[in-house]
Parts: sequence; structure tokens; C-alpha cells
Amino acid sequence: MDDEALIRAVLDGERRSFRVLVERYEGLVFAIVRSFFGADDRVEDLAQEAFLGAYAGLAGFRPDRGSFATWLGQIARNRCRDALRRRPAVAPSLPDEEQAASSSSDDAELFERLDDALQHLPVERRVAFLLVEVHELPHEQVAEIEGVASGTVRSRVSRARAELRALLEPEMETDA
Amino acid sequence: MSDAYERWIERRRRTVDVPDGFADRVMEDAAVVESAPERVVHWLDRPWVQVAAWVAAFFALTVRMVVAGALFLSS
Repeated sequence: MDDEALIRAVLDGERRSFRVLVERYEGLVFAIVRSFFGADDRVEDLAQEAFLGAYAGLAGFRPDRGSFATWLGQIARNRCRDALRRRPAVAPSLPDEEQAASSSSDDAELFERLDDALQHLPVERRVAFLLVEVHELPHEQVAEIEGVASGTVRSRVSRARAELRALLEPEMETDA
Repeated sequence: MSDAYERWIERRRRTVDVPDGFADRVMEDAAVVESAPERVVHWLDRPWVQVAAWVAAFFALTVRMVVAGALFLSS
């Protein structure tokens, strides 16, 4: 069943159909929230708030203005921005146990530097980079979610990539 | 771009996992949302507005016919 049919069903009283939408888009919402907050303890609450906001405002969704995914993504992004205003930026770090398990000792120091550099990028650049490069969302979808031109997203990703690549240059010279 | 960069990206990709039972928790909270979503009906489409419009149109037509009849008889 496509998104619009599910939304119609929810609006007609079939509230359980919303679950299908949650399961379909929870990955997208978590990707957006994690690009702002990483492993912060607010991630799940914010993702939940995004879905509940969409649920409560479902009657206001206009399919002619864009996809449900984009609309939901915009809600998630707005919740994240509000949360950032309430409590300022938290580094999008990884959970400790995952960090320890996944990095060899050779990589650990380099990864730490990359994580640190990522954390110090301006939030717009960091979000664009993570959504496109890590979560593999199309530039156009990120542009719609962020409310900017697709070229702006490309530029943000490219600048972020260049800054992170600069960190790796000494490493690459050593390899060569 | 180096392999280290790819390994770092790959490691970050592993953080996208959604916690178990997330959809259940959303649905539990949605069940108690007071403003449960409903289809928005434009006010012109509400049944009582439709009935009132028909009554008004019928009344206007009746008045016009009575006035026209009165004018005809008085001429």
C-alpha cells in the first residue's frame, strides 16, 4: 500500500495503518536525528516526537507539495533545531562500546580525529554531510528536507568532505 | 580518498540502527494523542452548510416567484 493510501486510511479511522508508516520511515527519521545528535540520549525521544508530530498533523499533509518522506523529514529536522536551541549542540559521537569494538588500534586515533573534526563542522554542513555521505540520501531529498537548493547541499557536502580529507592527507602520505 | 576514510564512513553507517520496539512505543503514545488526526472537511462541505444553502436557495426562489406573481397580478 502506498503512503497516500495509508494516510487516507489513518484519517478515516484506521489508526493502526500509521504503524506501517513508522516502520517504513523510522530509518530516515533516525538518520536525520542522529546527524544532529549522534548517540545523545535525546535521539529516540526526538525521533518519537517527530512521528507523533506527523501523526497529529497528518490532516495537514498535502501530497501535491511533496512526498510524505520529505514532509516527515522536515518535521524531524524542525524538532532537532528546536531541541538544539533548548540545549546547544551535542557532538554526533558514536556509542562507546561500538566505537571500541569497531576500530582497530591503528584506526582508532585517526577515527577520533575525524569524529572530532566532524563535530566541529557547522551544523548545516555536518547534517548535509552525514545525510548524503553516511546515510546515502539523495542530494535532492536532503535539499527538500533542509529547505535549500540542491546545489547548496552539494556545496556543503563537498566542503565538509574537503575538510575531512585534509585531515587524512598526512596519513595518505605515510601510506605512500 | 583513502581506505581509512571508507572504514570511518562504514563505522558511522552502523549507528543508524533503530532501537528495538521503537514502532510499538510510537503507537502506544499515538494512542493517547488527544488530537488524533481526522480528515479536514472544508466548511463549505459540511452537511449543515449544504442543507442551509439549499433552504436559502429554495426560499429565495419562492420569494422571487411570489413577488413576480404579485407584480403580474397587479399590472
